[in-house]
Amino acid sequence: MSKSLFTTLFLGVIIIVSIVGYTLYQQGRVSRADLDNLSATVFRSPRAIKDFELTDHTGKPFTQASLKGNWSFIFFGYTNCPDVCPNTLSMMNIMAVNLEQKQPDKQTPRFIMVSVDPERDTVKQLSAYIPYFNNAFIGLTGKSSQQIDVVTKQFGIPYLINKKSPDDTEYDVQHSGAILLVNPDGNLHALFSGPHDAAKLVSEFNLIRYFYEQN
Amino acid sequence: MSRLQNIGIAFLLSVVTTSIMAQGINVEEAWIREAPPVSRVQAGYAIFKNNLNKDIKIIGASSPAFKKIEFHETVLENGLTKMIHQPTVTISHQTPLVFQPEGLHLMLFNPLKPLHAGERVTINFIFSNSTSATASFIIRKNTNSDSSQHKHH
Repeated sequence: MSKSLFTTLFLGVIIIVSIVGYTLYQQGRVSRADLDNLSATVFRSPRAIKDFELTDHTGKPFTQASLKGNWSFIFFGYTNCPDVCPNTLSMMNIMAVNLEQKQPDKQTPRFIMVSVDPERDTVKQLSAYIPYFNNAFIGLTGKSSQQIDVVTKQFGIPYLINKKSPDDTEYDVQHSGAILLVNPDGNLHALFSGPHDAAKLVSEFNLIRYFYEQN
Repeated sequence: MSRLQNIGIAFLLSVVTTSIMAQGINVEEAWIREAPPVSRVQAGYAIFKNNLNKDIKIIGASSPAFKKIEFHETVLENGLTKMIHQPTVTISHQTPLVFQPEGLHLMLFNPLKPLHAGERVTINFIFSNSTSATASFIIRKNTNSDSSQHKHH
């Protein structure tokens, strides 16, 4: 075999192996286009979250810094909500169990309900409500609506306290059913609009997390 | 599917499907979501079938287990989830009236005692033709649609 023929064959093999290898590598990767096809809105640049001061259901402070180090699913609701909130929290419990069982090597995300009804949702009320759904879930409330608004306004979460009179105690609260996803850097990463399905949220979250980890 | 599984499913159906009521109205799959002990409100769900030849309204509901019962519909409007109070609801003679999670539901105020999964409570419904009937509701933790919990077993 002449030297030039050998070199040509050798280069040809290198090129073919490279093309096949690159194609296989790309097939295993999640592209940005894959994320655009999800039902979730995944932000191209995760959004920084300004600091806030809330209290968790055990009475400990919870701030923007508390969001770092793990993924967090955040939902806004209130404990006197009979339908959407328990439905969403039960759905989140299915997600948590699914992620724990199928991916025991990964840290299970935080699941958080921020109360939009701090007047009735005291720490004591939340402490008896949140662990019912899952012991690891976190309930957050504020000393006032202003503290809650620091969070809802920057996340674009609308809510409306529907009191019929100043001493109405049976009022309902109209609120967004969206679930937000905050990444381990503490930045707002994605938004899921309702209605929610546990299996779909888990599979989309896995894709979002995979894309985040490889970039 | 094994015969044992078939028997199991038949048994489950007999538990979750409650057909009662006189005057041509049937109630099926009547259940109440179990709630955390501090909840002051709960939601009830069921399917009402009207076998009469005309529509009929439910004009009221009451139960020894709750202080007050109303009909509420969860709707999504301008990004807000709202509960709209419906003073009465109509059971069409053509299509069933479905009370379901994140839709039309029975708003059950102030349970007189905590209700646990597996227990049953009765709810009395008053109809626009001056009749009334009682349905038995089972307390459950989750919806039927939470099948994602079980489908991989």
